[in-house]
Amino acid sequence: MGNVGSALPYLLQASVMTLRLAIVCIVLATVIGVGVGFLGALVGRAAEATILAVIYILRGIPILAQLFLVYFGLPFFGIFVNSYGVAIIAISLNMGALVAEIFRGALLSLPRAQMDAGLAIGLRPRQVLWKVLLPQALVAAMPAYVSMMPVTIKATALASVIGIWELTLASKEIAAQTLDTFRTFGYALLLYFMLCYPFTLIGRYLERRSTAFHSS
Amino acid sequence: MNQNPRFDLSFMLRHVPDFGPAILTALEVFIAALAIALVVGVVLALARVTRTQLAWLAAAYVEIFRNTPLLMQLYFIFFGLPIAGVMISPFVSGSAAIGLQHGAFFAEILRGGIAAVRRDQREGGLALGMLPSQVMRQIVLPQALRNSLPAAGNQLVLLLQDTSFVSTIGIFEITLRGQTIAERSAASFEMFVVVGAIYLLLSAILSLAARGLEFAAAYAR
Repeated sequence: MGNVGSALPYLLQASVMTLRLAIVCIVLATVIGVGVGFLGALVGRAAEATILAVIYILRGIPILAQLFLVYFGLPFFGIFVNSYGVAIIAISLNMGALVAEIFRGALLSLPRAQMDAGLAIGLRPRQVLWKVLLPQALVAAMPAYVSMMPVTIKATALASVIGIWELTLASKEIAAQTLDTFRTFGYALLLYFMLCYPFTLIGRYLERRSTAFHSS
Repeated sequence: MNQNPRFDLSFMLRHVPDFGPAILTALEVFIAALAIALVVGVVLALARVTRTQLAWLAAAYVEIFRNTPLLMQLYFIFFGLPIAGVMISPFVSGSAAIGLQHGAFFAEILRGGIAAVRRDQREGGLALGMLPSQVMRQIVLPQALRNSLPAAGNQLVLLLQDTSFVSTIGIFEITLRGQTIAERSAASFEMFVVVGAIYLLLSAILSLAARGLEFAAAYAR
């Protein structure tokens, strides 16, 4: 009952929830991804192969199926968390794999000469890594990393499938009440766009700046 | 409390054949969505390289579809459009939603491929007296397509995974099949291990095929 316009504050509230969920997931994904991405390039072959295999699995299964895997998998191993925990773990793992790929790619894309030059001026391999390679890799990864934010926001929509109240679930509620699915989901699309687009623009700006820097 | 989790392998294996029809359905959605995505992608990419009003429209399309979740687009098409008088079946809505979104991604990939074609290729064509449209069709596009293949291959795998979204509107593909079997059994986790394994296998086959295509295109000069 009522029209969709009066439900707009409710949808706005849900957008805040979506944003909060996305921020928690991106923070966790960054911890996972940066850790794994850099570790993978540092530690031995066997560990790197394991990490690559895990990334491959995470990237090869749809995030919706991963959500159910975590949902049923955690209790199977005797771990009980609520749906929020499940959604956050599943999305963070999936995004973590993406972040890991981004940072790994950035580290591996640095010219070999950087390592050689660092060694030539007498730095230890570890010092070259921390003081020469990592800072550059972080900068190189930035545009792609910022562009992860819209990806994460979009991924949180799936949390609605296991009953997390965020923008998608809230709009389904409103759609069921008002029966005006067209306008409700239209508004939801608009709100999602407003959440994602600023990050897309920032990512693109950083991208442009870094290519301008490298081609000069 | 599940004190001694026992992985029920026999249950898992017994139910693998149940996924046969579901895999076929997922592949049908995949092919329909891919067809839509390729058409949309090529049209948008071409529109974006013309310097007309069309370029602006195509850019807006790409931005809108890339900055909103596929799930919400699907709901809008499946639940929302009937209000506006457009009735479409779950299969068509699902394939359309996936195809329209991935079309935006393919457009970006192809646009990158076009931008990567060296300028002298175009100049050479024009110098030979070809029309700009001929240069585009016969010189730039073939090279652009080849440039786009690696990224397009990755996108194919993502498109395959996105077929799981149509489970939310009741199409019995792999994910929904897994959900229904999981719900009426005590071995829910095992079922989703099967689901995961099926997707991994399909993704692997698909990326191998894409890699093969890339090699074939590289040697077909």
